[in-house]
Amino acid sequence: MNKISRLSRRDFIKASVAAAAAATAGLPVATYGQQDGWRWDKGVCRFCGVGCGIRIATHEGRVVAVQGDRENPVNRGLLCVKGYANAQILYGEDRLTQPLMRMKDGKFAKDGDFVPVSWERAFDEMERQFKRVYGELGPTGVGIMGSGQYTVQEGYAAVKLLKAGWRSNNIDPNARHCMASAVAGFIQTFGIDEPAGCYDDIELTDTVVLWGANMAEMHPMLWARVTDKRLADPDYRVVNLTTFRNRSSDLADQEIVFKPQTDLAILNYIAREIVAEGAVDKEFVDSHCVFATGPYDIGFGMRSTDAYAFEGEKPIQGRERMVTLSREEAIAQGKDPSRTHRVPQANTATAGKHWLIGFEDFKKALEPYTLEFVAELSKGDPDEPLEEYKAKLRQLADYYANRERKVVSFWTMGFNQHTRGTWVNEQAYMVHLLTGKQAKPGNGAFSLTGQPSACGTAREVGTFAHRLPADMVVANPKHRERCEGVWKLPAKTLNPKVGSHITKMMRDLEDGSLKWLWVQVTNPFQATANANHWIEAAREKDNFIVVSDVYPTLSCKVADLILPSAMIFEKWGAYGNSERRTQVWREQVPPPGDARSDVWQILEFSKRFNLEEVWGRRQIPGLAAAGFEDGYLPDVLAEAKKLGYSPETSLYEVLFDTPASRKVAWPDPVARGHENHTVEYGGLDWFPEKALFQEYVVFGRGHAHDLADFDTYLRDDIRGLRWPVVDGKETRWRFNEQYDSYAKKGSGFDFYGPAMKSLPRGNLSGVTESETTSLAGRAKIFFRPYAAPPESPDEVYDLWLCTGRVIEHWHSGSMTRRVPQLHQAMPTAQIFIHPRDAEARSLARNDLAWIESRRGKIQARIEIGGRDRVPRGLVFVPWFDEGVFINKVTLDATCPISKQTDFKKCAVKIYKS
Amino acid sequence: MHFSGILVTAHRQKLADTARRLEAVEGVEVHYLDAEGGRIIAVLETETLEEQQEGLRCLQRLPGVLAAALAEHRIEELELDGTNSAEENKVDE
Repeated sequence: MNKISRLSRRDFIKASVAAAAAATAGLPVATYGQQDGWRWDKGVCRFCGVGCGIRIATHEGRVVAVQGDRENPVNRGLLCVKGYANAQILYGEDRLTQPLMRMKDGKFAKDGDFVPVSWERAFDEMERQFKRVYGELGPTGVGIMGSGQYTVQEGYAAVKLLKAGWRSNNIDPNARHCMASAVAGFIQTFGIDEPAGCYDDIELTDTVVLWGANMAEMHPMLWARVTDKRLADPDYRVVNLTTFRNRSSDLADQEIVFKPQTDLAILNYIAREIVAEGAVDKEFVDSHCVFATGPYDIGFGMRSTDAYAFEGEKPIQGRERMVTLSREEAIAQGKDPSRTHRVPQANTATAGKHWLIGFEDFKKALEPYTLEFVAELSKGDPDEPLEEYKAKLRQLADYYANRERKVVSFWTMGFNQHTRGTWVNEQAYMVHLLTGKQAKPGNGAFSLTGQPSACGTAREVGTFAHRLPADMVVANPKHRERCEGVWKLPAKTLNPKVGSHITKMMRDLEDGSLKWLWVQVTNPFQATANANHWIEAAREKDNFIVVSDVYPTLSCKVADLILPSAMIFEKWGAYGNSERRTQVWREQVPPPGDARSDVWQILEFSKRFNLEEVWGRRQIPGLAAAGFEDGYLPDVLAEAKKLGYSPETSLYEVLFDTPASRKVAWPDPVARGHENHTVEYGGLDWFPEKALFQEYVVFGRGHAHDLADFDTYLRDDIRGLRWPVVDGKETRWRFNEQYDSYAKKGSGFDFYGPAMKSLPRGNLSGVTESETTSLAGRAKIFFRPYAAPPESPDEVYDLWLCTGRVIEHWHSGSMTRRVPQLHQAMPTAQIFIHPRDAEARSLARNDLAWIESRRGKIQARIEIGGRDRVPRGLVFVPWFDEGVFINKVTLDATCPISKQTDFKKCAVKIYKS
Repeated sequence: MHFSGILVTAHRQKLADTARRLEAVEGVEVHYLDAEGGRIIAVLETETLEEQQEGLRCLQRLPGVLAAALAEHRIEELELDGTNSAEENKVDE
């Protein structure tokens, strides 16, 4: 401290802050060294999907400083305003530190108050309730909601317990609300999930197009890289397509404000221009692509019955069964606009089916998407002159069509949260594939994620109702067989029937088909649209809801049992970011009080089940898979005996405490003296987070999802690696022979993803030849038409409502709202509205107003200026604030293929309260 | 208090002028000039995050400044100075 004491504390801080900033730029400014006794280690940011590297300092069991990690190529030492909060989020005053259960007279009671209980007591009740429901409804009666905030190990343990142990497929992540449409787009187009490119594309391209991604606020460190490049390179262009002016428009060369849902039409206009201008990269398309389409009459992912709808909801709900096409839709779908088209939605259950078409059909389908038609349909700001808007669309099309330009298209929720989310993702690939601008350095369509491990855990581990690890799915018998092999399960243990996605699990709670729910690492009762239904379902019925969390979120408030969890640096973990980069960190500090890691919770709870209770013959409503008796999973106990298990063997022994796990010993030199509370409180002599990781990587190796070994990621010279990692080398551009060792030699490009690669032939109306053709190595260029959303503004509900985030807050705000500085900067959510729309309703800035839809109403204050400038006819409300519970207003319609909710558009009215 | 290390990129010819303009902004100290690279390391001290963000935006708008990025951010409670109010540290209910 001697050196420090000569300076004032303030000077010392300033000097060290300057030194750190200088070091980021590689400049030599004198440093004053670190403070005595601080331990520094590398880590990864807890928040968004960018995956910035941070350095964490700990002292006496507390995190005392956070820095951007200069060695990390993602953010190169820079952090956004949320990044530094990684330390503070651990220390909110209302951290949950002990289990809390609703009790009356010393017993669990649904209408009781929360009372602190021991873990033993908490698990006892959780087990009792589980066994009641499992006995009544079987495996489909129980479920887990997880998230893209799960560490890889947590997600893997949860999937294994639920799918292998309980034989249910009802696990689904909050990531369903975030990037399910991106996944469906990837699988349908490429046969394999996740982006071809990587963040290096930002520097290597010369055109960045944002489609419904306010990167400046939501992915600030990627935006910093875009900004640097834009300022350094006069020919670099940035286009921001959005439904309202946001911060990304400040840097953009061009801002295109379009009407909600019409991105579908704009992309077809671009494709039409590409074809008309002769800009198709014929060689690329002929060698590596095919053309495809699917049915248009696919509904909107709502319930098929209105038995549970509020009276006011019924007209919108009816569109799930019958749609009268608007004039624009008729034109866009090649129909006579002078006639009325009432279209029964015949393909709601088969929305994802598709077939091959010829190029001539594709071209014909694009015909209606002229500049005139699309400009009139899509112009989003009524105050913008049409000719100006047209000029922008022409310029945009030219960026894609121009062979001299490289283009990267980025998107997030604007595309994904869309009742045609899968389509619009596929359309982005359509324009990139047509022009051969895909899977090349500086060229590619790039879906970004919002959660830190939406890719690494939710998708790669497969914490979805239909998935298994490494892109495998429960409906595929070979995939089940492979999992049963790795997991040492008897054949036919795994349930082939796809489980309930996250919104359906809410609906299941409402209609009584699911009654036991464990929520992990997420806040679904705030995050799910049309929330009035689900809050009531959780509280009114004989459901039992367990929520593991770190702070008392809205979901905790509707729960029956709250379990206190450890936060990011209080446990060992791994995340995978949007560019396929896997990063692992060590436990840095102990969790407070009785808080425990989710891995510990899953392992402990698994001890309460023996095989006899879960592996007998089980009823599964609607199960009709080949090799299974209709409606039943078989008894596999006899087969289990052959594997050396007895009916009394616990799920803990079969799934987690395996001979292979026990070989992964703790203590482990890779820990370098860091603790492991999961080991300590589990009384283990093995290292669960490493054992789970090492078991999990087996699935991806040799299947183009290769990860390195656990220890590799903890090396000092590694800041994560982008999979597939083959022979120690990461992959920057997949499917490109020059960079991806999985791409066949001599192919140039090899879209080797195996899913959905055998299709029948047909035309724009349907299948004409049922015999299927193999498309091995090829990507699909889909034609998808413009379709109107299920609900649009009318005379009564006369405004579009769009919801989203602000920079200060992440997800539902349960962490960031506990950081005073972030909370002060954006304490409550407001209604961002155009001044003239406000005036017409006699509303002034800061007035309290009601915002009401057919589903519910809430109050919030009016904001007229501010960072988000909406056009007339549209309002924006951020969703982080549980006091402004905007999801009571939103509509739970989803993309029928991806099942991702459209939080970006519904109709509301606003009036003074 | 919020201490922000800011990396400013400026026109090389106008580096010294730009540095003077930066110094004129309340709470800003210039710590280093990189004449060759046209870069300046400045430290911004503010009481609130809002002020920090406004400060950063203000720097971004100064003539001569091409870019200003946050490179380091530290929040310190300077008790001896009496600068940290109890209010600031209160956690949201």
